Amino acid sequence: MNDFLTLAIETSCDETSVAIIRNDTEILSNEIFSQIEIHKKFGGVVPEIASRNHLQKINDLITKSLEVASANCEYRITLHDINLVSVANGPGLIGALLIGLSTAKALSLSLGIPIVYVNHIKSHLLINLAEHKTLEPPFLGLIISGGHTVLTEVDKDFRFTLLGETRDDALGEAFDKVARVLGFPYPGAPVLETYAQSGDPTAFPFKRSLIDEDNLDFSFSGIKSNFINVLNKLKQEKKAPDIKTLLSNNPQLVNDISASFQTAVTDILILKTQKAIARTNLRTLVVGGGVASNSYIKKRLSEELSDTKICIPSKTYCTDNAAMIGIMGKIKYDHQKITDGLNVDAYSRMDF
Amino acid sequence: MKILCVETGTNRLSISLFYDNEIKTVFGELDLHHLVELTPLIEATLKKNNLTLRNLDYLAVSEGPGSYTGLRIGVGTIRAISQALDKKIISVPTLESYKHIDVAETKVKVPIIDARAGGVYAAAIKGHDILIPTNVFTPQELKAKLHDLHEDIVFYKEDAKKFFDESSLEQSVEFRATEHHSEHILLVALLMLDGGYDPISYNDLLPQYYRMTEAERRLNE
Repeated sequence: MNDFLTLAIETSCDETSVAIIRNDTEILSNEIFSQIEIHKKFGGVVPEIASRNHLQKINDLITKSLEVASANCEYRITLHDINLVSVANGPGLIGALLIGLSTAKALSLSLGIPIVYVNHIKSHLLINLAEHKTLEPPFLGLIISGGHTVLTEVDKDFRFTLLGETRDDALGEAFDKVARVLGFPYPGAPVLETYAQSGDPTAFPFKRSLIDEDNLDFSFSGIKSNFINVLNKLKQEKKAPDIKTLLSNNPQLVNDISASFQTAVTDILILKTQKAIARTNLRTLVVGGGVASNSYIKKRLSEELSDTKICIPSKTYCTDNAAMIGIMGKIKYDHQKITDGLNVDAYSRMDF
Repeated sequence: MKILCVETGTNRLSISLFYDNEIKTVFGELDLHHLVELTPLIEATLKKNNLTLRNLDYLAVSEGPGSYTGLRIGVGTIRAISQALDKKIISVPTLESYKHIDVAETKVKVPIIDARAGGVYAAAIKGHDILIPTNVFTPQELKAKLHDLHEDIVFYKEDAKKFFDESSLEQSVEFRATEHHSEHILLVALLMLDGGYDPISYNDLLPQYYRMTEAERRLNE
């Protein structure tokens, strides 16, 4: 067997995931234990509970990932066949990251194989290499997730240059916050998307922040406040005792304000991405992150950036997964000739 | 017999090796730097003693109470070594290590760890006997339990003074800042093996938290 096998671990937030990657980009397995149901009753991720669950689940996921990988190829894979361990060491929840890191380091030490540490956010883009086989750098990257909104240039050697990022809330964060105001269960962004389908996107003319500025930065906190103010004003006008009553008495309002919000933030994304395309002259746009699974945003990007080749991951690979950590780890190992040591820390924030 | 033992629930991490009937103990260099220090220290210490993870008989680990973050680094590391190399684990109740601190002491030893939110982790130990098993108590609850023992008390670890003073109890009370480390944990592990303890698989190893998370407690209120 001449294949190169990477075992990858991802525990940055509330998804525990272990993947096996064959050679550069072939995903043999990508097992995910999602803690969404566990955190739902708290209205968001509770870090201590996330850490406890990661630790409880991770070793079983390693076993399962090896089994699934074996079933997906012509030979049986055990831990002793693995050539490289790749693990996310940030950005994310420290207590969650360190479960993946402790496990990955111990595997590297026990098996006598190299380990590489990967930036979780950057890897959201590189998962596209698995599904779009002809994709090659350089390209423009747009990362839209719960914690990040980033425009980046990726050069032919997979070096990332930051072009712009959010100055306040991340796009996914803004989605989650307004969804919470509307009373949607966590995670609210997909629910909002559904309501928006039946709404009038012009009902509420939310401000498109920063679009006239000559930079590639984003801001989503203004529109969130705007959203809440609109509802408070309507509540007074309609003499509703609270926002909940206002919304349940006016179901079309929920649809309209959802559609108006989604359209406004998508306008911002498109305008800033167009600016980035003009500035960099890159004709390939690679999108990643949880919000990239939003069908409306996907549709608008492909319709309105028609002269650009657009790569967006399928839904499974938009949200947090270990396959992306494995693909990026292998690239880091090959291209940058880096094998990292064991004395590496976890980081809640990381410079891009 | 060869055993690697890890204590990461304390501010300073420590690891001990047992082989040729001797114990060798090393410490981390910085407080609360466990994630960075643990695996390199295991690697270096094994190498220095001409041992490998492969030729160990057992892994031993302090299961808590202690810093949740610290415990998870130790437990996570031990679980993965166990899984990779098929080694069984001795999961040691942390506060039982005080059996092996001040061994000549005839008073009741009570190690205290601040559990936050108005609680303390504690146990009461006399010689090799556990008078009060490890649990989380309010200081008042613990005071009542200690009072009922009618014995002189030695409180251990810095945290004790946050909750008790010399006049807290009717019996005589003493404070010692001494803290356990991996050597004391390893001594308990050896005692457990002698007593017929059946070492466990990685799937059965988790830190002992002794209570729900704050978020769960609030939800239940």
